[in-house]
Amino acid sequence: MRDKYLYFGLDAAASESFDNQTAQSVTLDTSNFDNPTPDGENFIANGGLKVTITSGAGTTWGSHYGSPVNSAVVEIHPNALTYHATSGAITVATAAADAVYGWTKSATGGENDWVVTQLKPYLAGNGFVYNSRYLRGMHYQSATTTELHFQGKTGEMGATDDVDTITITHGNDKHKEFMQGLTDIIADDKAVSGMVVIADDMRGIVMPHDNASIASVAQTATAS
Amino acid sequence: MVKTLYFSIGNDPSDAANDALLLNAANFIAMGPIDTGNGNQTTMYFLSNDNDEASETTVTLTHAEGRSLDVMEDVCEAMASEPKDGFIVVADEANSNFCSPYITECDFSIS
Repeated sequence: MRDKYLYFGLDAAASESFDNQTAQSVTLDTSNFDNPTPDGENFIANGGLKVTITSGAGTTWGSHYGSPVNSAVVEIHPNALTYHATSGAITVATAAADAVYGWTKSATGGENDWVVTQLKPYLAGNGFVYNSRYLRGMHYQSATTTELHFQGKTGEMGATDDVDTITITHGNDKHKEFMQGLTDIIADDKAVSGMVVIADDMRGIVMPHDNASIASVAQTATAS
Repeated sequence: MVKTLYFSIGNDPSDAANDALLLNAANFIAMGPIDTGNGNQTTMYFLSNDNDEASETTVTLTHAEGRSLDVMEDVCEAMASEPKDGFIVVADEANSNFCSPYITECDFSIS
């Protein structure tokens, strides 16, 4: 049986709302996003964040968006977004500056509502891939949770053993269904190759053929 | 088949101690993004290269901002491949040969 690489997206996507913005830009803060907020001017272009804006009567849209009706939530194309390399300020090009992907804010209060949402992990603990080879075991923890124990990332074994614990929250008394579903993936050399998402809270994805109604995942204990 | 994973740092040629590293793929434990602020580094954790059972060998891949998940997918795909000689290049910085188009640098901590 070949090794399988099991992905656990441990943190839900951060999201921050900016209502009634009076500028073409917003700045993320650490009350909504992890500290530090993501930086790097290419972070958005590389798919790390998405920006949506609610259309209002006074907003002007680039041709890419057509003619959104009022109250429609529109995702801004990354080509129109500038991300400050260090401050986390996000600016949308105006429709005058970018006739295709731009957007110009409304002069009317209440028509410039933004939401910025994290799409990808960027900090330690946002997510991990584990090698199925080092799955030491799984056990019933409660009616709705099952714990997976992996060899710790610290590499410590024997007398100084170390374990990384992943906790899956699932439907009531569905531990057996989860365990069987996971082992079906690990044992499948024909259909499974590369990285397999077992549970990803950030993207709302769970493993294929989930019969356990997986709700969330967390790393509840680790010394690594 | 015994699969091995090859890494090198930027010294070209690799002619000094620890310029290059080959690890048994079976010793790969886990990987994930690390704190850099812009999501441009991912660390791979292995059982100790020194077989001391008390520490880990780590390889840190530097890549395009926010691409940790993409890099992990590419690394997993590479590790799942089955070359005849079992030799898999994950990040050979000295020769600009990477298993993912997003990886730009490689560093490691051997223990």
